[in-house]
Amino acid sequence: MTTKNRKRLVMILCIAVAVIVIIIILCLRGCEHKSSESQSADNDGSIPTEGVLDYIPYDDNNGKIRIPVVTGVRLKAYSLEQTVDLYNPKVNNCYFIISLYLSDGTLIYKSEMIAPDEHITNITLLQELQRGKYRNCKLVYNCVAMDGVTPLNGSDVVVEINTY
Amino acid sequence: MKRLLCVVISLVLVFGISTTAFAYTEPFSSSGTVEVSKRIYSSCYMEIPSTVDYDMQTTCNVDIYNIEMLDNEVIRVLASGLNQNNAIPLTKAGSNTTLEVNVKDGSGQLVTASNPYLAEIDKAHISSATKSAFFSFSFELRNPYEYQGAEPGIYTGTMQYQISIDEVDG
Repeated sequence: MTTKNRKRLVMILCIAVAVIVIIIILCLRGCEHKSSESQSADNDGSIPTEGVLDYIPYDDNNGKIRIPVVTGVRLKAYSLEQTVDLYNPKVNNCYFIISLYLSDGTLIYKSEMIAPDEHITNITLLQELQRGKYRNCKLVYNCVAMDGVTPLNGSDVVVEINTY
Repeated sequence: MKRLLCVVISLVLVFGISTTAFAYTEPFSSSGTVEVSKRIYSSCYMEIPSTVDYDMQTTCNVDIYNIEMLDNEVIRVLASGLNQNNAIPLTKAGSNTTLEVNVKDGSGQLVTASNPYLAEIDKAHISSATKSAFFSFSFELRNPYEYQGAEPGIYTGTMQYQISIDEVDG
């Protein structure tokens, strides 16, 4: 084979290799494009591509309500106006509706919705209390989601009302 | 004579008026005690699950922390508001079907209206370092075969936790 023919052959081989490499690159890019298309199709709710794990992890952070528990409340006897500290802890993601019941089930106070980090310090009772101790009363925390409608788990805290 | 008598009487009166005033010189003091007392009530925080999510959370943990209580007191937590089947009703808007879940305490005992205790925690079971404790309980679908054919969807319900810090004898 002459030198000239050899050089021509090498050039042809180089061009062929380059063309093959370009074809391979284009094919790989085409595959990537197809897989990204199929992923965006997944977000639209269509059937996922085989081999893709469709998993939503459980989020435990939204699921807790912190309830302040105190076993006694001091109120003024023979007065409807009272000074207390009823509050909804800042960390909560719900409203509180706080009610106070005597041991016989008599409701003596019910709040409006209390937002997280909100304190209520002045309340008006529904009836005056005599001086003494009212035992086995209940401070009832009814919890409502931030939509203001959906009821959530709540708590009854057994308290003693000490009137002075 | 009369003059002498007047002088004498006058002198007697003058001397009679002046008297020695005796001041009580010893200091007066007294002491007594008045008892002043104020009660600081026992307290804590309780963290409860916000919903009864039977699908995601058949076992629930309840944390109690910042516990301040006396040595002869215990924390008692009860499940209140159970229905006549000792269950929590779960309902779905627009459906007539009511699912029911029973509650079991940490030892697997069924919680009932007559025995509603979820947990009883005394001082020995409270971490002195963190002043906290926790307990677990679980839900179990009551009569699951009754609900075959029930309308699909999300059924929700709520549970009320009653907590008290009680004095115990001994």
